[in-house]
Amino acid sequence: MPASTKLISRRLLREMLVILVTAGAMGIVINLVHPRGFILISRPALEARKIVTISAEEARIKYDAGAVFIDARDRDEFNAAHIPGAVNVPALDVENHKSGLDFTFLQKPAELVLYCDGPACGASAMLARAIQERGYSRTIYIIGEGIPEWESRGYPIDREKGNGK
Amino acid sequence: MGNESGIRKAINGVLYGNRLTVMIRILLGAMLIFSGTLKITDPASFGQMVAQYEILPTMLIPYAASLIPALELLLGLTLVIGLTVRASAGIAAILMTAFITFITINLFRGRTFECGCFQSRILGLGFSETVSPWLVVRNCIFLAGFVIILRAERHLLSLENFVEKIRLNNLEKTKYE
Repeated sequence: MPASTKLISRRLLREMLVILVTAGAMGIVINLVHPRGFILISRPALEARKIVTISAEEARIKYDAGAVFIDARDRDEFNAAHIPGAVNVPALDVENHKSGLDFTFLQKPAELVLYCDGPACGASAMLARAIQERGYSRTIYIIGEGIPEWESRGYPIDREKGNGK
Repeated sequence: MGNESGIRKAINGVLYGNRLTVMIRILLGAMLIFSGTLKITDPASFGQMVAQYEILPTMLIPYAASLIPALELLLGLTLVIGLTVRASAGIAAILMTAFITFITINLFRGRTFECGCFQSRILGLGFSETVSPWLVVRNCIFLAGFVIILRAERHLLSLENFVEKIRLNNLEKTKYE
């Protein structure tokens, strides 16, 4: 076979690239104008959409509906006061890959509501991302103002015995 | 002996590029246009078909389900009209190899489901085919067809051949001017 007609030439590869790029552009345009097209969204954007901040009132509705509440604060803070029935999964322990953490709540069909001390604590958001990394694909709710807002509304709180409150 | 050389001559003719090569090219091109058009009409159900293979990550499925039908349609069109024939056949061969691999992996997993090869649920059109060894054999035949087109040096009844003829004619005419 002469060199000009060899099986894989530079020209062939260039043409293949042009075809692939054209097909990609065609696919995107068709998808955009198609009435039943896909909603193309990047992974970070999709994950961000799946972490939703809610108020204590909305959290209360979910609480009554049987949602699983996760306390993202330290063990001591949890022991001092927490929402009744909440599971303590300290975000820092998860970040440091500490053993003995219980993630069995992920198997439950109920919704997940995370909380910590408020908007500045950041533990809930950190834990939410860690839960997503474990393959949890449903929406995760975070109480924006945390346990102080829950408490201020007079919703139930479990306190350590002898705490004086 | 004469018979054997006749067969060899015929094979060489197809490999070089004769009318049979043209027929293979146009038939495979038409098949790709048909398959791509059906999938474009119903991207959602094609996406579900792709997901059934359990090979691509979930996030990539909408992209694959958008790209594959457009690619099939474009390859089909270029093969039928005869433009960038070898490049189109090359990509089609790679695509077919990917389909064969995906089906074979699922056969080894012991799974059978609708292959989604030629189907549009929304139009109620298409052939219902399940993942089976026959499908692998059929795709291998298609793959062989694309490789023949890729290897062929001449593509009769093609736009690129037509353009080349005009170019050579013009060269002849301008040669002595």
